[in-house]
Amino acid sequence: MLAAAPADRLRPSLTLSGLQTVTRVFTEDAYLDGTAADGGGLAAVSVNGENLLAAVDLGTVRTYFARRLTLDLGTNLIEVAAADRAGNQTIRTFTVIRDEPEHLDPKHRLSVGVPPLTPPECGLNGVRAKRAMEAELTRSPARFRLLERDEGWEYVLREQNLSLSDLADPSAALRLGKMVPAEMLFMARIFQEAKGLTVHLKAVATENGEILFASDVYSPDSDRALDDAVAGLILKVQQGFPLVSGEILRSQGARVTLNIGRADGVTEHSRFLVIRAPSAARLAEGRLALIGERPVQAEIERLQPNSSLARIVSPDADALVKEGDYVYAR
Amino acid sequence: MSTPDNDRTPSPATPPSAGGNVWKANSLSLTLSMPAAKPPSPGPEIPLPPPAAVQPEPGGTHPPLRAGRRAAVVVIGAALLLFAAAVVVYRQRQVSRTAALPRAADASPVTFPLSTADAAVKVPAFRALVIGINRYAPAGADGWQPLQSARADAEAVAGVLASDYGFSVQTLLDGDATRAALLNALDELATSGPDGADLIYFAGHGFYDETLQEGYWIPADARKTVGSRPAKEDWLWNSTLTRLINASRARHVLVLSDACYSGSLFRGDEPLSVRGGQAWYERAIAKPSRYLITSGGNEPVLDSGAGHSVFAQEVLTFLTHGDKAIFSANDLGAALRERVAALTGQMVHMGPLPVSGHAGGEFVFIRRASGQTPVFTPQAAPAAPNGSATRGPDAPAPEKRRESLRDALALTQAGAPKAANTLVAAVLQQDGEDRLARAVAAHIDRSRQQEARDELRALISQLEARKAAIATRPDASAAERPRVLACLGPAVPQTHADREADGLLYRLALRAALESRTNLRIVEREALAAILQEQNLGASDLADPGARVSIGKLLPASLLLLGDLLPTDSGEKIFLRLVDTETTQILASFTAMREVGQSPESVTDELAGRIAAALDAARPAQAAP
Repeated sequence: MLAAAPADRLRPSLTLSGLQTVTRVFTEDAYLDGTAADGGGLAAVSVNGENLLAAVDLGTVRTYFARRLTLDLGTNLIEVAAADRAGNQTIRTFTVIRDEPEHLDPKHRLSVGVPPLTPPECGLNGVRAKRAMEAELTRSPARFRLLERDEGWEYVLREQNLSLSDLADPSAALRLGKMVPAEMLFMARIFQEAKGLTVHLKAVATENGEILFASDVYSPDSDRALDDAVAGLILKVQQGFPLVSGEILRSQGARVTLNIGRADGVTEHSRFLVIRAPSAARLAEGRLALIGERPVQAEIERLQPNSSLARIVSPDADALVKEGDYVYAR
Repeated sequence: MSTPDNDRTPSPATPPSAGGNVWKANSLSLTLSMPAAKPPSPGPEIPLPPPAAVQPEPGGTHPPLRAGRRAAVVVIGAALLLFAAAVVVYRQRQVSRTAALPRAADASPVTFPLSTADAAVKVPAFRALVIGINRYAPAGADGWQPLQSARADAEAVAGVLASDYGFSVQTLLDGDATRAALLNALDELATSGPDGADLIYFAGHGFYDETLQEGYWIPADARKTVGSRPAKEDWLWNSTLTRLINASRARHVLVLSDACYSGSLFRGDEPLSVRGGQAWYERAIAKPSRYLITSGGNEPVLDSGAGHSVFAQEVLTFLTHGDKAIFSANDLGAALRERVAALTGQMVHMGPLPVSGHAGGEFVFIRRASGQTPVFTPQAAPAAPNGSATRGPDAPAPEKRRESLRDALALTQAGAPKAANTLVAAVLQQDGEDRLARAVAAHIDRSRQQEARDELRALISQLEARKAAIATRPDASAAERPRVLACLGPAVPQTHADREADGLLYRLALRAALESRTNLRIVEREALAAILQEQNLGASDLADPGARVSIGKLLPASLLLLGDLLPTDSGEKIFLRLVDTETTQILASFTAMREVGQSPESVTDELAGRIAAALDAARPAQAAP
């Protein structure tokens, strides 16, 4: 009588390349590949539950696999598993952290408030146009940091007031003193035409009242057309504030010379973040120059077609800014 | 805003000599002379009560007329006799202020002769709420001018209804007829019994807003203006009244309104229908009805006649001296229309109210003095058009359900939670799984609970006087902060304030949807203003920490959901935005369209999914503060 063959208790081997146990990236995708092997024959190789072993390869003793993974912002957990026909299994887990490049954080974008449209008699059209503006301004990736003003202000203050009171649950207390001032106001006005409406918008700097940008759109008199026209108006505004990047060619005290100018879409009073990065191609890996918790900023003073002169507006930041640093529009 | 000036026109103290009041003065003199000169039509000459039947009011100042004296009066003229008899009858029937008279069931049996014994019809219990306001509390230049006859009208009508028709009557007169008292009384009436016949009589000031196309009854405690604007928050809106009547469980509701602009309760008159006699009344009383008779359309009406307003006088005359033992509200309205128009030029309006509770029936009056044998054959209440025995909405269609829920919310806001519950219960009866209806029911419950909390807080404030203690606040940074959202949108624009209940409906639906799909604390903010008024209490050293814990702590909202509900050519568009209350940043915004016929829940469910995703991106549930 022959003795029974010993049961297969050996787990498959799993070799992976491309990822560390914890990997930090700025890209939207990650690439994972490797090999799995088992003397008794493989039954499955999976990444996050999806079997990558083709049916014709079932029982093979060795296989190569690869997968391009789409990452969410923040922490992504990846589980790779190989199983043999006897039911033995090997599992590896990886963590991929997708970071937003610091300079792309929405909190660094220019802050904007949208007052109610004028004239007050524009009624529902004014409300509808304002809401359509807000919808477009918050579409991801947001070009501006949109702030609640006017209608919602009372409610915001009420919550802060409540948080200060003894009636509030301390475990849910709000962090006060974090309110963001609006650097620009998008002031819009509706003009009733003989047929349809014209919506005019100007971007006004709250610091000095200067008009930084102005444009308008025309809408035939219907709900849908107004929404579309206003969305187009906001796109025009965003095109007026392009997200450009450049390099600091020269630093002299509080003045810096940049290698970008009018031809690149830079306008007077454009504001930039200052970034220290290995190279222009690796800007995403760069770190922001900070004074305390606030990023250092440069503001355009003079424009040439392909270069510009900017002033470091953050106090006491002159020494932090060096030739070879990079800038990115706020 | 252009609004016609107010009210049931007060009678001038002296006859006006010029201007618009000249016409009114002429009409007034005509009113005074007419009853004696010509009996009211339709019908034969008014049958005067026999002298022996005229009894003195206990303790009254008017002794009965003796025979010899009466003969002298006949010689002088039938007009004076008629007037004297009317005064005595009137005083005999006066009811005391706010006193509820014996219920119909306690009074002598109501007679309702039937055409066949097998077809006995259940006679409803007759109830009346009679309101008369001469004096308004906020006096002065900004207050309402006093009226002369509204209270007397109400008292006389209440007396006739109780004595001749067996009504159980509640009166609210002058200072007792506050807005809260009116709402409470109407709410009680709407919810008190499933098979009643309710008559609501109002004599007082009215108002009409042309912009909103909304009419109002003015309660006794209502201001006329606040600053330069009308104090509408103090008034009883016709839309609220209509909702209450729609929600009523009664089989019949008849409103008799002797106030200016009461015609705004209508959307149109019903043409007079042909009456077919006894069988017609039997059918009419069996079917539910919601009927209205007003002293005028959207116009001022006269305050004074011979001690009563012309309208009230004609109501009293018909009820007291009418030749029919059984008659309908339509009969009453037709008689009033002819008489009042002849005397004043006012057009009495009558017809069914534009509510689903009207199912073609009629309010039928049955005079007690007809001497017939009572017939009370217990029967089930007649079926409503949808087969339901209650007076709620008559169809389960989504739009109908939504309308009922919207009405329920409006009633809750107006302070009539019982009637609101009736409406919601009717919707839930049709579909117990209706999530929106359940959310509305929960909201109404919360409103009630808020009242209970208010009482508790009052109790706490009493305890504080004896227990002075200072609460120690735990370290806020020690605990992980929860995600707390206050759902304040969508709201309707001020120009569409009459649709505020629509906005609330969406907010409730959104809250329900968000609670079911997100790891999120949703906080109530509809009543926060009232709670914040107590901040002084909460922050004071008087507060008892133990007692405060017992009623719970409020969670400040770190996120707000704000937005608007805007009408469009093809339905409604919802705009929402998610706001960080620490920075004021708008984190995300959302839009959705609701086409006509589409259920609100489908829209809010889809919106909730997008909001939850945006929340998770902006504020991951496990993120440290």
